[in-house]
Amino acid sequence: MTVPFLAQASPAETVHTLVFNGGGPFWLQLLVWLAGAAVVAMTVHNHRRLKPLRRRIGMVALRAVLVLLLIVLFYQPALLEERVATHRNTVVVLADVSASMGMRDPSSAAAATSWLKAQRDYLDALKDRHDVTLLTFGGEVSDGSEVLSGAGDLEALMRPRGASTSFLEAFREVRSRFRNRDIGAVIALTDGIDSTAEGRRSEPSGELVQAIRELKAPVSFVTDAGSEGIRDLAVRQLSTNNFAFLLNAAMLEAVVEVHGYPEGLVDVRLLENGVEIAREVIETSPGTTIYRLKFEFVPRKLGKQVFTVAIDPRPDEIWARNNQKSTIINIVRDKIRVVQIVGQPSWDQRHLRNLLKENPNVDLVSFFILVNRFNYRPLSSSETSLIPFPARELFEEELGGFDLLVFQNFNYGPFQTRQYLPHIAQFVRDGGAFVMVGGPLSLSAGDYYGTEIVDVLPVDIPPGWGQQPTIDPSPFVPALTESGRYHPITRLTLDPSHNRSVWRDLPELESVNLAAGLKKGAVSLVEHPTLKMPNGEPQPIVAAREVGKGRSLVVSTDSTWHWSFKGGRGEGGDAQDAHYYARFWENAIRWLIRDPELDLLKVRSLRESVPVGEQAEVLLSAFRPDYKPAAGQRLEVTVRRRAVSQPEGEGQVVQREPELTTDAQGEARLRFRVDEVGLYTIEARADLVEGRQTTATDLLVGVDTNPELERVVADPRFITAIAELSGGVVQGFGDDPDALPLKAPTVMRVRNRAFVELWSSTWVLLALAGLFALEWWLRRRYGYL
Amino acid sequence: MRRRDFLRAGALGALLLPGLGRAATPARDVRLLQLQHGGRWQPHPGALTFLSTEIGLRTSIAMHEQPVAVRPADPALRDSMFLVAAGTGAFRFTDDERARLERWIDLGGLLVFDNAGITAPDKDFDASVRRELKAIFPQTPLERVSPDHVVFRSFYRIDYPAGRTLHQPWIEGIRIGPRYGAFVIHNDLLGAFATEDQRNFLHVPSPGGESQRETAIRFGVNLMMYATCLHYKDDQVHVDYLLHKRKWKIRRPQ
Repeated sequence: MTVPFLAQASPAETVHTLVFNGGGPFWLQLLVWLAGAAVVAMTVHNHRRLKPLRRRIGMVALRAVLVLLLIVLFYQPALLEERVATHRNTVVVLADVSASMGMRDPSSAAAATSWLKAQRDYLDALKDRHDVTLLTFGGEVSDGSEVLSGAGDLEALMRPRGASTSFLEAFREVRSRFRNRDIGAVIALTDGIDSTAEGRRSEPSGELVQAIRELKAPVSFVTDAGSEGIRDLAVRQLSTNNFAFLLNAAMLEAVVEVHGYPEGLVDVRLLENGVEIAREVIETSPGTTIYRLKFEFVPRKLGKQVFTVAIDPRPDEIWARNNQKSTIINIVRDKIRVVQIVGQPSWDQRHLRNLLKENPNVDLVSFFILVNRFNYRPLSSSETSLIPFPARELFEEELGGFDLLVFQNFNYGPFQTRQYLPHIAQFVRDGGAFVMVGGPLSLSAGDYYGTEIVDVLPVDIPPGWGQQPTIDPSPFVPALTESGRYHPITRLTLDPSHNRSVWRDLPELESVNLAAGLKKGAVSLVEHPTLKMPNGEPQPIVAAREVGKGRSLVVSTDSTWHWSFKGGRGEGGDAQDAHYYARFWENAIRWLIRDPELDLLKVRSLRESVPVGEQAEVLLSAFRPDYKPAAGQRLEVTVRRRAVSQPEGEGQVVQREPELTTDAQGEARLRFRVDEVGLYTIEARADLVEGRQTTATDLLVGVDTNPELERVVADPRFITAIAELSGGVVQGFGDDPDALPLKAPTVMRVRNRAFVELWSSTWVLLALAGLFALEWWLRRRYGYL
Repeated sequence: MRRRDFLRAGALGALLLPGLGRAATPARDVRLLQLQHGGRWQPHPGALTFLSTEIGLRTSIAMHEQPVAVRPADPALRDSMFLVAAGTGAFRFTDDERARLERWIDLGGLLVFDNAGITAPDKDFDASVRRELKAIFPQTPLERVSPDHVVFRSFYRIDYPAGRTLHQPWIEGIRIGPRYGAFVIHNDLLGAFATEDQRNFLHVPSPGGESQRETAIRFGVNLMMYATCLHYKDDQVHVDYLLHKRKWKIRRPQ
């Protein structure tokens, strides 16, 4: 084993340095210099009559030399004699072997390999004054110096394979490996792409600057970065909130890199679940590669949606897989949009409107029918503040923008709205929520028998004609049904037994619109204590039903306001009853609009974005219709993968679990491997409600997180900044390597040291004596002695 | 036959038509309540019945024509959210009555004090009203209601609160959150509705005569509409329509 430090030691040599050992404090030096000047001045004065002039000058000069020599002696000059040893420093050749080196054609890796072959003589020549080391980086840093001496397989060493490129880590590793050594230069053979966050900067970060300074050597790059002819379009980054509000403008920002297309137009599209919803055009300009785009869009579908920014690949691009990027945005309601249509002002309408109006989460539009066809009408419309009922605008144009439609004691007949009833039924089937509140203008009394509206109601109603009454006006205390004990609508308190007592103590109601029967799939939650339907079942007071994608509710009385205003029977008095009134209607609204918290079956991916090769984990929760945990429930789960461009429901099944069973808490977990890029839909089905299957879905994105594949074109500004900071250069693979700056070996070690005094030597004393003698002789000759 | 009688008869006839009567099957009618207080609480018997009828004729509200006289402690107070306290003379509520009225108003009720002073607002009644309202809502002063307030356009568009007289062309109110829970009227509103056997009016409104009576009826309708619909006419859809289609000069609600 050799010790590099010692092995590199060169033969010792002697170095001389002139030093002054005398002098003393400043005042003393000043005194000496003043005395010398005085002596010279006196000499000038004494010889002022000496002729000719050359004699005078000669005498003064001689005295000045003598004074100067004495001052030199005062400083005691000496020669410092040192014997030192000089060491060679190390030139580090850093070869980038990250995956991005192999992406071009011809590849950067091939260019680097060729450079190493072609510059073997250059590297050998460096060995006279430097040690030369070859390290590979791009992932881990490893030593490949043996190939410089001809041993080892250069092609194999330079094969692109690394998963990431970090100049910062590479420089730190170099500094660490040569901790006690002087580095003469770092020469990086690279494509110039730093795949870490650092590489997205045009200037090095503080950390990188520090690492470069610690190298204390010029860092040069031999690279093809910035070469013309490389063409690539890439969606680099998406910035957005992970949620947006339904039917409210939302913003998504994208960073797009354009290389090799200096002038022209680039179409960038925003897709929602594969369907284009917005488009922006980039007008490229020379010298600009980064473009920031802002997409404005209006989400129209609740839940998790996949938004993709995509650029159509071009045939001359070097890499097309970075042309799109996807993100999942959870679309939530900012406000529940409710339209309340009332057939006549009443206390019931007043309380429900108040409740909705005061709820900050509700955006309410109300239409009250203030006059009917029998009313006395003023001669001029300007005398009143009445406005026409906008039936067409509401039911034809605007209905889809609402979450919940409330018909409160409203009869459609007098308002030419018969033709819009199918729209309302379709609105419900398409996912809207509808509630019909009873009253003398509602249900059968409102002539709804036989209309399309009834098809989506939870109850069948009798015809409004004939002798059979449509309303029973008598007061009653409603009773919870078995389904109503746990249903979220009727859950006024969390404790089921307390909930029953609460319902028992609520103020009595009066008047009920009679129903003929429950629709299939409908649930009666609150029933009349005595009145029966023709089939013998109790008259429903509150009944709910899921219809297509929507939900409907019937409250067959217009007296629930009693709970809010007439209370006082229960423990908490009227204040508590008013609270229960609000709780009942708020529960109803949450259920109607499908508040996700009230879903019977929930699927939740624990990560929205899963790198390819990793496991995704999904939590499934199931509840009975009474919202108790569905323990031991069999779930059928299907995981599909689809491309962004494919519509929902399509794609390849990657996993199917036909019999996943929930635990005692009604929960089950599913794990699957994300083996390809794409959108993964996890769909669960369960028989939780009699007569139909309950389904729930969630999404996740399988992403390719190999950063080497995201950036295929370097920003030459970054490596140029590093080179300039360290005193290095950036040159191409074909440039002359002699232009690469190298630091000369400068590290020296003093092995011994001695002083040779000059002022005390014989020659100096003889010279001094000789000068004095010469002056004495001249003075005698000129007659001064 | 006057126009009103004709309409009343027409409405009754319509109710009896086959196929139309169903729409009016037993309705949970909206009642007017009249407060029995210690003063002369029923200065104009039959006036509220007239107002109920008029409201029923002019609006879609299903009115119960017979008002109910209630004391603050009566359970019937909770049957309606519109309570009229009319009269002259001094009165005083007990603490329990005050608490009940406060609770009733807090829950949403609208209490309308109507000063039935003949030549001027009755001072004793006015003093009693102010004292009781201060006792019930000590933190909330009576304030003059802005002419832009929705109560002046909740159904009819009116400019001033006419009654049998026009002692003061404004009303005062007690704010409960965003709404008024009590109004104080100084112009003997019910006096304009006082009839003899529901046929002939007892008083000629002054100074405006029959047109003032019509304004008073309209104001009564507006009060009822305010009790049932509150600020409905301040909703954006109404404001926009009235501003643009009718070119009303109304201030947008804050």
